[in-house]
Amino acid sequence: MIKQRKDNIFAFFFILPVFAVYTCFLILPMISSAFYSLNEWNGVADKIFIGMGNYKTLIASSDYWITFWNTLKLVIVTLAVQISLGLLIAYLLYNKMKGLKIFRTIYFLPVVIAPVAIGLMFSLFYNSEIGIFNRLLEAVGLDSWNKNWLSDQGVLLGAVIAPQAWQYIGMYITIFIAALQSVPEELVESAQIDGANNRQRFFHIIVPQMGYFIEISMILCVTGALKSFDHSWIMTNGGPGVRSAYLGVYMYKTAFVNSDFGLGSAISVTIVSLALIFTLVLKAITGRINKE
Amino acid sequence: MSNMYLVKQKTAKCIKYIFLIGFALTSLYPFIWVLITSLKDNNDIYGNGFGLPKVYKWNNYIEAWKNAQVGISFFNSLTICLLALAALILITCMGSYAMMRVRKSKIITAYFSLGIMIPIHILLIPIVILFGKLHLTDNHLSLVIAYIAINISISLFILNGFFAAIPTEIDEAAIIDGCGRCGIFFKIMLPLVKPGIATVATLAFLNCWNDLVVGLVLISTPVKRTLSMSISVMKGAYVTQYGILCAGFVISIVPVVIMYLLFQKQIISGMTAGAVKG
Amino acid sequence: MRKKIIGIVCTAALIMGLFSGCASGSNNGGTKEAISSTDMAGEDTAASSEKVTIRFATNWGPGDAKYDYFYPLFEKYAEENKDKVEIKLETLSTEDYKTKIRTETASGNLPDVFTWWGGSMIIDMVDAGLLLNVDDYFTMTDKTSKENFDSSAFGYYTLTDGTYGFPLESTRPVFIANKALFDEYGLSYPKTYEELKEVSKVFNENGIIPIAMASKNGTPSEFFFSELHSQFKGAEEELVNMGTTRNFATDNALKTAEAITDMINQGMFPEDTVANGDWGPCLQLYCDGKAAMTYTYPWMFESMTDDAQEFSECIPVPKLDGATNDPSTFVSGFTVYGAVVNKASFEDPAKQQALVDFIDFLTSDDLTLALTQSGMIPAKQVEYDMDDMKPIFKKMIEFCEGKELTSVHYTTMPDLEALNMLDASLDELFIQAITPEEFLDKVQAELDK
Repeated sequence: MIKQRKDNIFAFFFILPVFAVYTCFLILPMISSAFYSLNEWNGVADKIFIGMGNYKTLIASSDYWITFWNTLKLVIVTLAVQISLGLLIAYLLYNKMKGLKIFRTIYFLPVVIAPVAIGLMFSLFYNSEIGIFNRLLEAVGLDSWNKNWLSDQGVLLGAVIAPQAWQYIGMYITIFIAALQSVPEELVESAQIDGANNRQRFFHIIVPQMGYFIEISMILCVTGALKSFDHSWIMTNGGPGVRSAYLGVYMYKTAFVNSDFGLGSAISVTIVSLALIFTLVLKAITGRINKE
Repeated sequence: MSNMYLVKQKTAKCIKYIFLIGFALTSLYPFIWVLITSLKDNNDIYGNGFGLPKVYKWNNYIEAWKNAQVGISFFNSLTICLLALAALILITCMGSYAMMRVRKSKIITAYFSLGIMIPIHILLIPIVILFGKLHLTDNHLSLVIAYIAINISISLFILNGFFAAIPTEIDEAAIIDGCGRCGIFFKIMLPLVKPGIATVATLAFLNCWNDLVVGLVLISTPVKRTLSMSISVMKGAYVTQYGILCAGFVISIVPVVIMYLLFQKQIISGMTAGAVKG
Repeated sequence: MRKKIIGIVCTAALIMGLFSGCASGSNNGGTKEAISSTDMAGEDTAASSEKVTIRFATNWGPGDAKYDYFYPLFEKYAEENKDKVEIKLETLSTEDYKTKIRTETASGNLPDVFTWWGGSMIIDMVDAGLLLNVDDYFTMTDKTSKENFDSSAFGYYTLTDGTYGFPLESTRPVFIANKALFDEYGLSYPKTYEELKEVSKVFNENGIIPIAMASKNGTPSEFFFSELHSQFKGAEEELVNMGTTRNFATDNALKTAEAITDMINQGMFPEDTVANGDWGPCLQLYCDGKAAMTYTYPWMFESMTDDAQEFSECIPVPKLDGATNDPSTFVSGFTVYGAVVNKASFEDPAKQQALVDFIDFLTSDDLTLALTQSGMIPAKQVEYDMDDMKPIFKKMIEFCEGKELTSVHYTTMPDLEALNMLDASLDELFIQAITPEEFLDKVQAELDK
């Protein structure tokens, strides 16, 4: 009994610092923003309470839904590319300890470069007049694939998603390597002795053991994509119109360019809500898988 | 029979290496491109985007360091990020240990994971108002606190996994041995989650180092700027002097790479010391 | 062991950081006491109880065309007046600058003086009573008066009930052609749309982009749009009255949008209008000899290479089919930038004199002349020596001599959201994602709200 109380007191004091900073400087501001979303506010004049007015505007706004679907596409592509490639490469490296450090360092380099730099660079790469992408395609004889990457409606969004999906693969490789290294070797060895081949070992022993890390990565990936801003903003300003904009970009434009902070805050609230839903769904799915 | 198997093994290995090296090249290339571009002038960049510089403009680095006060902002960023990092790691490890091993609570864990979903831009106005009330305008301390707050969720997210993975026997053994909770934390737990700390440190440092908007709204005086702010300023009103800009990028990448390499050693030594074993 | 060392270093740094944080303190434009902080002048001030601090924010920072001309004079002013006032200079590049000022407006932390645009950009601030009516300044100063400025200059900053800003920068666009390229292919400058089509054909066949014009967030397209728009009958009245009529979707606007669509179909612009959008990339294409003509503004002159200034010739925009006004008789001309003052700061008796002095400095002939050298056309009437100016600047002034000045949508749009919609929709028009009719509808919808 006394030990329980001592533990509780200990836990209280140990959690207190992180709780205080987190609540005061993250949660409370977010609640303020949620409050702004219920008002009509241009940042200068007084706030006018309009209840769900902003949300009604969003539902009726075609721009909002365009950015919504753009963001969804981004989530799906980054999930598919980053998690699967991350897992694959981490596994390949993990199996061959030789050169692991060098490879991992190299793979991590893009993660380290500021998105602004990546965005600028790709803007130049995509430029049909002076950029390499089209040159490269010509060089391998794929002229017909030449496009105006940032001006062609069909490929525009894909062109903006690509650098972002590519840039952070290295981060997941790193996380997964650490996760792989936490899988007890005995488990893998005993499976090998039992006659399981590579693929079976991978999918039936290793992946489940890494379950927690894969779950973390997926949540990180999805929430990161939902908040996405930099790449789209730098390369195209989210444009033309909102064709290459994500919810985060649309929120920024609304709040800081159009000076409508009420509506911008409402958009943020929808971003947070979406992230919440995704996370809960993901947890439910992995919970189901774990039970099997 | 065994010969064929060997050949199959070898080709499989070959393919794997080709794939790995290919991906490594695509990862490296942007870095190389930024490096080469940092030594060109504008005309060279537009005319000859992917070749070697016609004229090596080492001057770009001097310009970047001097003109946009990259030097000062470099040290600003370094101080702020390291401070935030140190405090962040300390309080999140404490919190994670407490909520994962001392007094487990799903509610608390869930509460802390909310932060991951919050887009930074929407916090801008409230935190400016908040720090204004605290009389911390144009003050590095506000940045430190903001950076800590922003990274708490991700850090806890990752650390929780590592703390949870430690078998309970270790706690119990230590308690039997007469070690207080505090002692357990500092002497046993922390070393065990070194890879977790390394991961968190890397991610959090990156977030702080590359942040632009938060610094933008909290800091006004040019000499107090962070590095990414200085680089953004260098982008100029209407024209991008890519060469100098890239030089600034290279300068801003170097410390991160160094930090990463340093922590890499931590991860490896932590692992090979048999840290996380049953 | 290493961990211990890192731990100790971090703790020490943490403590030092806390101390430095406290020392640098906060500066909410404090009234009387000087708070010593590391500012650009880097001076150690003797805390005299009469010294004030004022905050001046601008986007004329490092990297901006005007910085090299503005900063030396600013430093000199700060030095000369350091006993009476400490001026905190806050600079950011344009995009970041807008975000910053907007955040500061929302958090109630506006600078004392700052450079800013007029028209739709100040409506909200004026409505909230944040900006000073400049007549209050003019009554207090003896260094400048309204008469020193161009008669129409204040229009940009005048709303229904007063003028709330000081114009500093006027501007005229230049439509320039690369003489060397034209000579190389034996072409003469096109005066009509037919001629433009022929010229474009020849250039395209030889791998040269006829006109470096693109659209990223409406830049530079919105100005080119206005320039073409002015060729049609009644265009000027439409623009001038847009504040009251709130009518953008006129026949003339439609004709202009259709003209642009035709130009795109004729291959007159670069293929990727997003990647090549914004002032820099467009100008760069032209300076590199990849485009034969372009349309740009004086704030880009600082970035024009000497060669480009040599081979450039200012020519009238070709006359479109169906145009009534002769483009060689007019050119866009308007006030584009200036400064505004925080009303609360001005009414603070402690700061008032310092602010009046500083505004005197901002509107002074000295500073105006210096800025002119960056390629700016001053809103104030000053005499400047042509020999000090850039070659391209001289060509522009000669070209604009005696021409009628027309307005642009950028400054006459009554609503910020409508202006932003214009920019975004122009991007879409340029990539041919929407038709001219849809383009007009989109912008008009914003105005109708």
